[in-house]
Amino acid sequence: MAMPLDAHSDTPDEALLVLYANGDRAAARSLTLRLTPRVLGFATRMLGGDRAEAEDVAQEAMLRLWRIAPDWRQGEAKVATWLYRVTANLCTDRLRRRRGIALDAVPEPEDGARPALSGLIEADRMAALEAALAALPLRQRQAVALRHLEGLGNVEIAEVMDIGVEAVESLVARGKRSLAAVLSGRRAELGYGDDD
Amino acid sequence: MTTEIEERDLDDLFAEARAVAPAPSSALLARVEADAVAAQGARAQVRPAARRPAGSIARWFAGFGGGPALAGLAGAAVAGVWLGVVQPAPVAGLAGRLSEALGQDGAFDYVELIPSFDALDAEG
Repeated sequence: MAMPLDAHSDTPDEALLVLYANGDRAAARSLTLRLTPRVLGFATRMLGGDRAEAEDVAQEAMLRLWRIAPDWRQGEAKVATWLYRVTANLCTDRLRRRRGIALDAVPEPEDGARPALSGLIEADRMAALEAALAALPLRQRQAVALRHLEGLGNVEIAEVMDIGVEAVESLVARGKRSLAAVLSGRRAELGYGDDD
Repeated sequence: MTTEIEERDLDDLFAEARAVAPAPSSALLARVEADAVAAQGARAQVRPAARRPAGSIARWFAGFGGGPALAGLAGAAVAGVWLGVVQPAPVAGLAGRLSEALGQDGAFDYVELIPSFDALDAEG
């Protein structure tokens, strides 16, 4: 199905949501094209690369946006921030159902807790990163994905995760240390040279 | 030879991951947009029906300011009729006191606060 270009490329998300709530179909299309990729990308990273489940989450998160549109309170939160939060919650629910345990209780990974990364070639690096992210405690994974893969600032991440900025900084730092630990010893396999 | 993953390596991995972010399929976009349109349609169906145009009596009521204003008018009219028929003692006493305060003598010895029908009739 061919999708036409975004007709509201310069219109802020919040204004588009008001147009959508007033029955504007072009606004519905613009929001779909603009926000679905972000929601899908974040969900895919949170769910360890499970594309089908990430699509379900993305559709559900967007459906919640459509439903809340008439009651949206201007100026209280950015649409994208709200969507990231909904997506994070949906992913958390699915991961908990999948594993049947409280993920927040998962201990920090040990140095030896590495995903199977044997025989890596360049194209496998993203899979290795996804596997390493999946090995992180949930909150660290959220913070790292939002900061370094979705490109959000710490303040916005704090809003998404409903925590303070300092807590975000701590989670990101610990998450990166954990990632480095998980991928430790794989530098050459990941395709990075031994120039230093 | 360094084997440990360093901050710079992680940054390289993140940059590569951002560049190859998963793109939604056209089927997913179509489903999401269909949900959006369906939600719009559902809201349109539950909107209240347009109000019927007001009839002539309703317009007449509205000319007086609506129901509340008419209720006030009716209340004032009933109170006026009651005062005229009953002529309660406080009102009659007030008339006497007003006469005294004005220093009126027998030539003009009363103030008629509530004129009788006869008086109205005599004045035409």
